[in-house]
Amino acid sequence: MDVERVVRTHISSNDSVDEVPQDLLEAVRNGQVGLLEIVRALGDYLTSTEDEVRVKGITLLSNVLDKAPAARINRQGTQVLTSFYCDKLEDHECVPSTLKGLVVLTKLPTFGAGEASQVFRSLAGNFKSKSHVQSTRHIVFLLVDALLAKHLSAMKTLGDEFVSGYIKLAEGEKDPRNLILAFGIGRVILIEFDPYKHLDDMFDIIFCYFPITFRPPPNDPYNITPKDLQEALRGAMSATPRFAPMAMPLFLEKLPASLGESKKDVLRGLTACLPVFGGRAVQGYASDLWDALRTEIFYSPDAEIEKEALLTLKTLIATLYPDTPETKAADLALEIIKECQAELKEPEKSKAKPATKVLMTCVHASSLIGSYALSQVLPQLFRMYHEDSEIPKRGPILSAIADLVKSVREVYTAEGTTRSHETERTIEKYRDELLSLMSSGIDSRAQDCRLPGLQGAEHLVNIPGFLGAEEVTYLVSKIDGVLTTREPEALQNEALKTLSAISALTTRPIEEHTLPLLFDQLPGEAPALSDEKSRYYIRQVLESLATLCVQPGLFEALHLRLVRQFAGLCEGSTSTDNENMDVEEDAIRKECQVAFAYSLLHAIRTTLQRKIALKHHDIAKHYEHLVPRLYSIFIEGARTDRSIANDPRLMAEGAAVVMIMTQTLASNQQASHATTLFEALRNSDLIRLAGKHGIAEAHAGIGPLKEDASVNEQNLVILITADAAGLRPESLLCDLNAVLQSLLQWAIHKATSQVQVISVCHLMASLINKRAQDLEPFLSSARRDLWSLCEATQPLVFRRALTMWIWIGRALLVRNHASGLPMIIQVFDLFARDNEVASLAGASLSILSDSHGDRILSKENFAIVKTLYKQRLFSSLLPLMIEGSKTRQGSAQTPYLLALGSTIAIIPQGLIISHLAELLPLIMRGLALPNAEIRYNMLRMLSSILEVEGTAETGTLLRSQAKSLADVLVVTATDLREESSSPRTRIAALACLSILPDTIRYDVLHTVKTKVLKELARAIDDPKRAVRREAVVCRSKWFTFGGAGT
Amino acid sequence: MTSKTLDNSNPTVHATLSQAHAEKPVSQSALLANVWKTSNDDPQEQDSDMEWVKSAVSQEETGKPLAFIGNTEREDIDELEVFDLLRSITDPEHPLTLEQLAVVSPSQIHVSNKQGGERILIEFTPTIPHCSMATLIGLTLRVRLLRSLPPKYKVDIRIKEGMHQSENAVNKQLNDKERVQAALENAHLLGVVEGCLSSADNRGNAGGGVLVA
Repeated sequence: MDVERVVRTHISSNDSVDEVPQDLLEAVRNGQVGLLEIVRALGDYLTSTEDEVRVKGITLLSNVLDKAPAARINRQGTQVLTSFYCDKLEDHECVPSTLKGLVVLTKLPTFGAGEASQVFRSLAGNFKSKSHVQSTRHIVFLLVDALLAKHLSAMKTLGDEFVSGYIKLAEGEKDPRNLILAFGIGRVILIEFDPYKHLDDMFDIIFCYFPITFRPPPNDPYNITPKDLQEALRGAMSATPRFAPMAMPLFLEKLPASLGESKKDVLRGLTACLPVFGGRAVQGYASDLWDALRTEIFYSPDAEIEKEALLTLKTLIATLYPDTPETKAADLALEIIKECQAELKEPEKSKAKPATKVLMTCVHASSLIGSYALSQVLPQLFRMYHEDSEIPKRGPILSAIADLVKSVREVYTAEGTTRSHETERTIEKYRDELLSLMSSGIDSRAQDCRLPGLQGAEHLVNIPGFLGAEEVTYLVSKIDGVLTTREPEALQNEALKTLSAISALTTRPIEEHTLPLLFDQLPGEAPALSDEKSRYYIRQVLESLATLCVQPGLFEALHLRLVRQFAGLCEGSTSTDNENMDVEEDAIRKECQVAFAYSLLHAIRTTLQRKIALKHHDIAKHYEHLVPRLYSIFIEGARTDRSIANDPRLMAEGAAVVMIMTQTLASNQQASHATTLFEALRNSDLIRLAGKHGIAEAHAGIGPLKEDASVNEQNLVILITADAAGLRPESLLCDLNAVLQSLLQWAIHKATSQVQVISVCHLMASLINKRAQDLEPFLSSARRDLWSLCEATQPLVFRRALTMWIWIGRALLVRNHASGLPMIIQVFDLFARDNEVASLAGASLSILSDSHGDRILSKENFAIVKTLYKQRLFSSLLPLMIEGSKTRQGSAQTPYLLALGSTIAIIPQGLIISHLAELLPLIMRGLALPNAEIRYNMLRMLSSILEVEGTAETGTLLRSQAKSLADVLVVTATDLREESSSPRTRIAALACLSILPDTIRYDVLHTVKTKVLKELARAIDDPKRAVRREAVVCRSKWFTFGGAGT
Repeated sequence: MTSKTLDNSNPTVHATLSQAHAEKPVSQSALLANVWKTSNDDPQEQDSDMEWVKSAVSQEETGKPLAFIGNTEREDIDELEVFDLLRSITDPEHPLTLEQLAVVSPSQIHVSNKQGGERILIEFTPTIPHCSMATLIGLTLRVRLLRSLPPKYKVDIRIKEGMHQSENAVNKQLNDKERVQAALENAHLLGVVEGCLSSADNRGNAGGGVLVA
């Protein structure tokens, strides 16, 4: 190949500089042409007087070098090329391309120590940082970084020459991308070279950037955050103890002078440097540093700065007083502790809190200083509590003590700590005093003593190995007192937290003392309707029980006791004790009773859910005691009209418990249970499910599907549904076609209430989802039958058939079954029918977003759920909805809007955003529909659209619609008509309206500001408190929008 | 920060036990809605697992249970609600809330909801009798209530009797519409007021105040 010709053509052609002739590259790759040949061919061009020609020449060489295989360049070639490039560094124009070549060379295995030194010398001698652009300087830093990484010893031989050379290269650098590298290099130099001769210069090129005030430009493509820079700089600053004499004065000067983020950076810098500088070097500055830190801790209004300052203080103390036998608490520590003691003489004042935090920091920092601090402060606080203090001060005193105990607890329980109570015994001698103060705090009548008392007790309990069994029992008895009196929420919660902590350590005192007390608090009958207080208290007791009984040892006591009480309530309700009772009064009493019974079942369910969240494995073993018992209670109830057990809401709660229990059964247990369940259903022999609790003779022949079943018996289907929904697909072994067929017929023609219909739909959906592959016979007949019923005119039958149609569709969709989507699309055919049918069809699509459906068809229930089904579904539905409402006028649009509004909550946001231009008008029209639920859904979606940071396109779109949006939202927020609005809708509208000032520029909306504020004056007068609350937030936002002004 | 001398550099901090809003439903429908609550924490709490039954029952053609009559009772603005509006305002001098400094408290608020004569009286207590911030605090309360209470209420803001050396002058200033208006035209003053108000919507939740420059 004629290299010279190729090179000549390339240089003289108009090809861009970076292009490489392909044939040349190919020839180098397969070894026909050596690199040195190219250098030779370039010959005159490399020394041409025309800049352009030289640059083109050297760039060609560097590019070929970059693309050539490393094996093609031998040791000698490397040497020659290195020398060549080093010489070229003198040529200012060619420097960028030369550097590029050098970067390639340094990566070669044949690039040795000699070359490394040569490259660095040449770089240091010739490269003038100030006359090159950022990208060129960046290559230099990369080059130095590579030299240090691969040829550290060669660089070390250069020694001071390297350091001074580098200082010249790095001086005055301003670009964050380069600085990140420079800080890293600085750290290596400081650690590896110990450049004491150039220490001042090194200090200058590092500390001159401190503290960093860099703000990245918006949408910074390099993604360098201030945090990255700060961390890199901190690494360099803390690389050597030799910096201490220069750095400490600088820190002391910067700390009071800086603000906000920079102040935090200074504090973090100190925290990083102090341990490296060491106690001896820091000693002289310690007192001044404490002065500065004290200002931050005691006066800073910024909690984060306070936190950083405390962290620095901790490091300072740990540095000054290391954990060695010869360390003594002296000077500064004594001074700090004394100051805090003085502040704590007025424990109720605002400075007492930071003083306590400082003392806590002492405990955290060092075992020695910590125990000294506690030995000074705790006796003082004890004395104050007992002797000279007025009652109002006791709370703050206890609070300070509790905080100090907390710090001890934190130290001993920190991850990976070596400190423990056994080894330090810091608070051992205060054991009795602490226990008695905390319990007297808990017993106290003053509320502000009880809270710190409880908190202190919790901390004491959580110090590993501190309290003995007797002491714990003693505390439990005290805390029980709080739990069983009618105390404010905050105290109750704290008491509960403490007891929970105890129950995790030992359940005995809880089981023996606390639980019986709590159970005794539950009344035998529901409180009267007007007795809000008792109900509040019952909720508190049940919440306590549901929290404590999560522990494996305690759950049994809970469900046995609560189910017994539940059974009692159901039985008690069967007899009417007063014949003369007025009908309404009776109904109200019954409602209270149902709600109370419900709260008992709900407590069991809450506890179960918490256990599941904690992955407890002891749930299944309670199955035999819990589930058959519940069945027997509900079956017994179904025999009589009076029993509250017949209330579908109660039954649904019982069913929810059953569902969780069934989920926890093992596969084989489930399989046999499934057989029993479906047989019992088919033969109307539900009593089999009650196990030993059922009285077979009395309850023979009870079942929801029975020909002459009463409404109450029919309602039992709710339990069956929940039970079956918890079964695994592989446990459903029997043939389900017949079961489903009879359920379908029953739900359409026999069911007597909507609850029954929906419940059966849930059951069918669950079964179809899990076993669709075996159910083709049923599915094809069901599709035919149901659709013909959908054509029917009888409204009830139509409604039921449609409901079931969509539920089946959903069950299939979720598992990506082929017939799911067509079934849903078919619903749109109904939109062409008369208004009533069409609207019902549109609104019925809400079944697709029904949240209980998610629960039935969930992974916990072993349903087959494909993740992307919503994406598939709505990529088909959304165009239908948009198209439908676009091409139609007036009320013909309504079903499409209803369909959109009923499903919008589950439409993937990406889809919404990509169709936003078409959807926004529909959403606004939907907001005018007289339907509170639809409006609510639309508003929620609108809020989430406004909240995401969309593309420029969506931004423009939203801006152009912002004014009309504000109008519609104000109208919705102040709409009090009961049929079209609900508090929930109004709150959602206000929340949405509150987002506008954050996302839309003021100049777009300033014309509507006055109007919005005026209209919101009505919203802050809403009849509902929760709405007013949101309205106040919204109105404040609008007042300050675009600058204040009343 | 410390170079500036504060009127009261180490004020007493009061415990702020959270107070659940004392719901006092009087109507039967409100009570009936309440019996189904399962948690004391969240007044808006809804047991979503139960919703399907409730909505199905409510669709029933006949025999709706009592709880579905709907709770449309008006919840009147009361002392606690007004206190809730004011509690989290930041003190102009400390990063503490007016509640923590006991400048405002529910017992110092009086609300009358008599139709046509709706009135609210706020009495506030400066932390010390010579507090130069009293007018500013009063003005902040005034602005907050102007923005967040329905205009039908006539609002009086006063210093609690005997708690400030120049209480008459301050009271006069705070209840004179024109003087309040004039004060708010001062951009700097309004800026300070906005600063104090920026934490107002925490409403006793997120503890502590917010940086006030």
